[in-house]
Amino acid sequence: MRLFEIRDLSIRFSTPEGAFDAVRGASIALSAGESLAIVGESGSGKSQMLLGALGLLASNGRVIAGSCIFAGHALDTGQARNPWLGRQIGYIPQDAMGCLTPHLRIGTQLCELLMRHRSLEADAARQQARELLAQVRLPDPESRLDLYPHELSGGQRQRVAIAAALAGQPAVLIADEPTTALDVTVQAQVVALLKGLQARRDLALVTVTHDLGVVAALGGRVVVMYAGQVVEEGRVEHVFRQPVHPYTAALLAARPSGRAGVEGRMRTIPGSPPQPGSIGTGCAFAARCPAVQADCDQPVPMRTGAGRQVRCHHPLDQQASRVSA
Amino acid sequence: MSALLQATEIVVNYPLGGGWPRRRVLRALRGVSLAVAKGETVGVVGESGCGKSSLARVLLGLVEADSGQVSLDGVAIEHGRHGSLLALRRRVQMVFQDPRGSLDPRRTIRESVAEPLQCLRPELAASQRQALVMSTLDQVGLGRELAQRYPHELSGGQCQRAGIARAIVAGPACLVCDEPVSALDLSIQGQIVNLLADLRQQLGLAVIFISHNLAVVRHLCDRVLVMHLGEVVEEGTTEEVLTSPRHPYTRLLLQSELTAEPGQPLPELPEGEPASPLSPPAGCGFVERCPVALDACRHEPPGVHEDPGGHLTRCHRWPPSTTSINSPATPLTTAALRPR
Repeated sequence: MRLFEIRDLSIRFSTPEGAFDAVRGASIALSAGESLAIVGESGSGKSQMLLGALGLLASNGRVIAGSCIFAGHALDTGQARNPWLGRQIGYIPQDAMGCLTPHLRIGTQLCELLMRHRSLEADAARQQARELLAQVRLPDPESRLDLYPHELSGGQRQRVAIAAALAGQPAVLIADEPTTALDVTVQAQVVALLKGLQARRDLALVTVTHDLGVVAALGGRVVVMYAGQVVEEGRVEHVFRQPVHPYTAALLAARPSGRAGVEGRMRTIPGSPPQPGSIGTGCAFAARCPAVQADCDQPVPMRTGAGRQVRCHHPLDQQASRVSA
Repeated sequence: MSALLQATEIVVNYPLGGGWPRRRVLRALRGVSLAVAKGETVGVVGESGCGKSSLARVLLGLVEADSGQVSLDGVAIEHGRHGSLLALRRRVQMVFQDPRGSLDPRRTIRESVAEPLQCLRPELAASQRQALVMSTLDQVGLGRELAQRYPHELSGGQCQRAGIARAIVAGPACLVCDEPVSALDLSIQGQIVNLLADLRQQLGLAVIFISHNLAVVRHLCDRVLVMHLGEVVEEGTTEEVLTSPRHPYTRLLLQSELTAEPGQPLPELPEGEPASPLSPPAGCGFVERCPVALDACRHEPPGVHEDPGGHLTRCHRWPPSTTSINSPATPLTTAALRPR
């Protein structure tokens, strides 16, 4: 059974220029001990989908349809904060500096979470906080408890943010761009930490990223989002070796080749993602798609089969032709 | 090849307040040299805090070095003389990391691109200026219909094209690009890298390309400098440095790269973080994370070894020697570089 699901979620933002839908009927589902990466460009709705499910949208955004399901219990996600947040669901926000209060010591902040979510006494909470820091492999946890956020490096702050998300002993851990602001040498460490925690605690791990290297390193399944919709889903090795949606294929081809002395040009995707609000009823990628055809302006159903999903009228390979609409 | 822009033994310290006797100083650059010739692209890589951006500021004359000098076409830049700095700015321009933040939100793209001409080419008439702006917008692939738009109406990639237009409009000889693609989406990164490569060829530009993205550096650069804690630890052709790295730090950077190949095991990396530029260690700055550190590495700063091909390495372990008795030389192979 699926442990955690977001089903058919749609999110609308109202702005002075008018309303637009940032997320348009997106779904994800995963079991305990499974890793799911959500990849997409900025504006694809990958972060907003999770914020919507957790009830953390900005004041001008609202969930207009869809539900969030945890262990068989469905929750109609509205404006309200998700009651599972902090306990069953741990959330690591995008900005590790911003999620820590600058004028409170690390220990105070972790203890507050532990006392609130796990009803621990002050002494037990401090003990537990030290253990959490050890679990995220912060060196010398006892003395770090007395430091302020600004006294830590970016990588260390990210580890503290992960520790804070683990404080309520969640079964689902959601990490929003956990490596974006970090140096390459620290990125790999943080990915290794998340993978280790996922395996050790049997966590369902949802990672939002735009970095294909992080997706490949995490393994498990990947969801590709474009213009507020899921356009492809499958196991990482299948999607990377044989992408079925033209957007996924173009994104993978746009990776720098990585070989020295290549005089050729980098492959790119012409144009830029559609502006929110200017998306019609057809395929949102049609304007940039190299394989666009006449019927691409018709609404695109999700095709499902063989552990994969794709939202395309003309998917790329023969595997997809076996998939029925 | 003679250098177009050259920096020699640059030292930059930033005072951080705190009075005597506890005056704190951040040692951003500790004797960095760099030279770029016409038409050449030099990459500068390293972690945050290694001094990459301080180096860019010194090269542009935005920060005056505490010691060392910057020279343009063999003539030293004097910070006290306005004319000297003006000459530097006519010839050396910068492309910034944050494409939207580097444009004035209250000016149209046309006004922003025209602004450098007013200070750097004041002899131009308004109509000439206008024509030059429009042809530059063509050159960077921005449609003329976007000239009257404001930055918030453009996408990130379009803003970065405008930023590049601003940098090249006055006809510089050298561009300093500080992480020009790291804020952009993958599908846009390639477009900007290709644009820089085209402009370099059409205009014969020298380019200094600061980045932490090794894949892009590999693609674009002729030579690479690897910086760590305010020093250049390795320098050579891109091919040499990134395919047969000599310094353990360069190897760490290469190992850390998460390649987008599924199924590969995660690199096993030494734990630990870069040393602080507030109190650089007495010996080698990398000693804390180095898997092959010797006793000498703690106490003595390593010297620079230059081989005939111009490949520079700042490491006690290079060249691999067999003379030391206390520390029998381990050949610097990948096996020897596995973490402890």
